[in-house]
Amino acid sequence: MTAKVLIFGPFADAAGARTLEVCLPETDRVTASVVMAQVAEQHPALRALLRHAMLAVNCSKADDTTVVRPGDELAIIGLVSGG
Amino acid sequence: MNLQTIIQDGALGPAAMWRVEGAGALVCFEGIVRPIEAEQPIAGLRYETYDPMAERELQQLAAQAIRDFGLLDVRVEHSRGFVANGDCSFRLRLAAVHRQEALAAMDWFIDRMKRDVPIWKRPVLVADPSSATI
Repeated sequence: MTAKVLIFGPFADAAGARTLEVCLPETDRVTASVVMAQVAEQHPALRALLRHAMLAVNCSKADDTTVVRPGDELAIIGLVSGG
Repeated sequence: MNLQTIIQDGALGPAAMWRVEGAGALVCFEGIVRPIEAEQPIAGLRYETYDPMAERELQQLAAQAIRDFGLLDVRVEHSRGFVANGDCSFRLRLAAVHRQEALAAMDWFIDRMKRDVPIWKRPVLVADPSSATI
């Protein structure tokens, strides 16, 4: 499946966009770690930033084993800097 | 449990009057945009927020602060978009029975917010007003 991934801040700067299209493997179980690996593979300009980032699934922080389903809202959250 | 989180466009206006029954301490922190960032004059900061997650994270932090520090009330306001230097972009108000827990919670909350809440800022340089756009 193809997933849209929201990006912000330095990620948006590096990609020149606010969303990424990421092709995911056609398997029964796609996890957050698979999504992040595919982002790194398909968007090499983001690789360095991804070392300090995590995936959010439906606005909650995901761990490596969190399962991603079609229709989930995905976002990459890198280092933040509010305040 | 009393908590309120607001993310709004532009600079925050003056704080409204605030009273909390039973509180012996009302502590208010305001984050003001500095005129200089990395030794360069800036017109202001442009804040980008992932609104649904930022709201959720702020509410979770506020709830945890109330639980762990025994606070009576937490109110958080944060800007999105452009805020000129000298203006307020963040306000945190905490109410507690005694000052110790309110002051301790203030530091804790701001540290956690800067680590966990999906809000980003970019300086808008005086010399290059397009510096904060992609």
